[in-house]
Amino acid sequence: MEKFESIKQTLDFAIEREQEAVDFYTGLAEQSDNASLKKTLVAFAGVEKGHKEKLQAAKAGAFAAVGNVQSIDLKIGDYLVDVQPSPEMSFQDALVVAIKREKAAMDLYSDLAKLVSDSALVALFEKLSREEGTHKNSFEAAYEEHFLSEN
Amino acid sequence: MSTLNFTLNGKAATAKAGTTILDAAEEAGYFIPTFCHHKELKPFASCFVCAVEVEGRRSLVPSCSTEVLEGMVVNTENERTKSARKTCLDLLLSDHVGDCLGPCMTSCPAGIDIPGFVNHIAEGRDREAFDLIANNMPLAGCLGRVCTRPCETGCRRQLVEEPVAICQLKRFPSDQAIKQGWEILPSKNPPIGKNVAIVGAGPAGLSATYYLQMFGADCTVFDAHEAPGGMIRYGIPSYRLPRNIIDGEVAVIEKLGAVFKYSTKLGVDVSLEELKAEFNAVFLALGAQSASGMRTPGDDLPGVKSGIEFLGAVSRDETLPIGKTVVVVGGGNTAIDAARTALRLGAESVSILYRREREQMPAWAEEIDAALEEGVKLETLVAPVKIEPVGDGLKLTCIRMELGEPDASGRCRPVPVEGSDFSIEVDEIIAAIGQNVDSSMVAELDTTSWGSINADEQTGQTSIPGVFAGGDCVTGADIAVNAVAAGRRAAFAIRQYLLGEEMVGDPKGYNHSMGELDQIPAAVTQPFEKERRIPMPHLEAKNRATNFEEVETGFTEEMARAEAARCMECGCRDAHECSLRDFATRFGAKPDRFAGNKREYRRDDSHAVLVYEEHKCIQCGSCVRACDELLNSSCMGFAGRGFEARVKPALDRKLALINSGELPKLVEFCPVGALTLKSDAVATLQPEGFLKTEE
Repeated sequence: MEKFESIKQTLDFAIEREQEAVDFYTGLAEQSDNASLKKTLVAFAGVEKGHKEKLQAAKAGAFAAVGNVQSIDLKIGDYLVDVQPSPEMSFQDALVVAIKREKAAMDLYSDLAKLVSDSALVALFEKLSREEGTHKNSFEAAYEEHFLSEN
Repeated sequence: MSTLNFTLNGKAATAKAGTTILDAAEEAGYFIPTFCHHKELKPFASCFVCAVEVEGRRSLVPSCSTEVLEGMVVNTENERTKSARKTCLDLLLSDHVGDCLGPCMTSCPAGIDIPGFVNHIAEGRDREAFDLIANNMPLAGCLGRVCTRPCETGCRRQLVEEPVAICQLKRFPSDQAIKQGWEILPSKNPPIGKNVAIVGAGPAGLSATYYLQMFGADCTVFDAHEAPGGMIRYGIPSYRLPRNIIDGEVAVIEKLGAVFKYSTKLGVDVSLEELKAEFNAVFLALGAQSASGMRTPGDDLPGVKSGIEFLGAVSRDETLPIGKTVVVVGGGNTAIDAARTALRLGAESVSILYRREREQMPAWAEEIDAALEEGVKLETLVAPVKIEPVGDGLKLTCIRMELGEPDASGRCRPVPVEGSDFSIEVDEIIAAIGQNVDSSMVAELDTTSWGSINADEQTGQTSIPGVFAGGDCVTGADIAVNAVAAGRRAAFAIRQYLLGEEMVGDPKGYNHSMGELDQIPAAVTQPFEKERRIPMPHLEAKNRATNFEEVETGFTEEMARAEAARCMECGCRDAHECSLRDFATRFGAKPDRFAGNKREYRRDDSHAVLVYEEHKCIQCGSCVRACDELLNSSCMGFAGRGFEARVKPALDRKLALINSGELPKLVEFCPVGALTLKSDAVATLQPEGFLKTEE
């Protein structure tokens, strides 16, 4: 756990993960010939960039905004079959990918919070987990709006 | 009489001495609005809406009472005069009380003249009712059965007891058409020598085709299915909408000259590129025909299908085999239709699983009731999480849900309850959880992230000129009447496009409203006694749940007349001729620009042939002056002063107490709908955007 010895290191890790997400969606968008999927993936990359900027702001002192909302976990992603990301996937598949990625991040920070002993780091991981939960909630809400409209 | 030379809107003009600017401008072909001016009356110059600019004079002058002078320079159409007119109109509208169109009409996406056709039915003119509806909407028999009735949400009769059964009354004339064997061929304009490809024979495509054929275009309709109707054939069971109703209404469109090419799929049998090359315009009405999969583990097992896949298959073969135990997942009308259809195919047990509570189900309450009466079971706050094969059937694992915070639609979001999993064994699972747009075959068009086509709301114009789109493929899965309305708007825009005109779609005039239900004065509903809404007759549950006979059997004549008579006839008798509405439309007037007191609602129905609605009067004084100058009568006069001034019957009596045979003549002097003839029922007027008929 030496990687997470300080708040700065932890935030750097989280920022790096958000950048990975930006790169992931941007890369897929570049490979896609489907205009509407391309638009979706670019939008997702933009969302992740927003998350990254929020964490960068936290690193610079604006810490209170991170993880200050406890979203209800709709658990829609818990019961969806995994989707292999591809440049030809549907919007529904793209949302499943996004939900699953946010869920993985939420679970990761939640697990890390249990592994560290420094109370400041525990609090930070819990905040980051809540923040990822908020991101997951927004994708799950979009999934519900578009693909569970009659259910 | 000498001839005067003057300048009118920058051009040299002449007028006989003694001619008013208003008359001279009209003679030269310019339009100047006026309320208080009447050819048979002396100039009054009270409304000031006819004001014009005369160079050299500080203020605008009333053109109705200002004579042309030699060398005068007059501007009747510059920004200053337009702005002054708009201000006059804004002021007149600021305290105006009344409706141009009834709230039912403004709530109906297709804008049907509802008070009109209901009045025709009430008075036994069924053919006129049929024609009036057909002027604003094809597929009246279909929509009269399956429409979700947005019109009834606006109906003011519910302030008395219940809304008028507008939708079921809309079905009645089309039932009469079949019963009486009426020859139906809507009027049609001469050919315009342009052809249009319509892709999709669902409600939006059929609606666009109907109007374009009337406009004189030649339409060819392409559809992937083997028969017309789109989702109303392949998504709605025949016990709700018999197929002969769809076929009969499509036959009218064929009689108008449209050519239908079935089993022709866009992107497979024909491409958008080919259609663009062969036709002058293309209208895409592709629908939202892809089902949202459950995406739970096992949802691809045999025995699991989507609601629209199931309903489509049954639409082609109503003897399809079905398992004994069927579970339908979802809470919309598709779920209810699938469940009731499964019963009719012979399933012994049919259950609907829904994630929220019954109150949040998007399905129609009457349809849910009908399903329960037939024996369908409803399990709420349950969601499927896994499907596994077991023996010849399926094991469905579900989880109990509880409601969390409300979402954007106001419905509470369901959240799984940890550890509440349970399993049931079933033969078939039908997932009716939502539909999507598949626009992959028109990838060259701009689309939203979720695949619906981006198109202008008023015209349907897409990102490619000459290619239009409307209905579910633009909005996502929606109600049929919205698709019909989109087809109509697009037809107007396509006609404008084909003729090289400005594309505005189907322009609507200004509409004044008395407001929402809670803003309606008690005096509006006070004259109406409570009358029970006539229930739609239907087959008993035990006689219908095992067959595909139409459940709702339609109003008898007696029922239709009685139900139509409940209509309060909201809307103005003068809506299509009212000068205030006409000018408000022309000058973009706004009723809320000037805040202030509204007029009191005072309607005098006492006279045998006249109605006086004081709340609609604009005090132009024309009726008062007509009494004085032409009729040698004092039956109408001004009472009060300033803002409180009102035009009233002499001595503020009821009209019935005024002993004058001249009174009905005053109607022609009223430029608005304050004084109207009872015989001018709303039904006798032309509906909005009526079609030009062949000369």
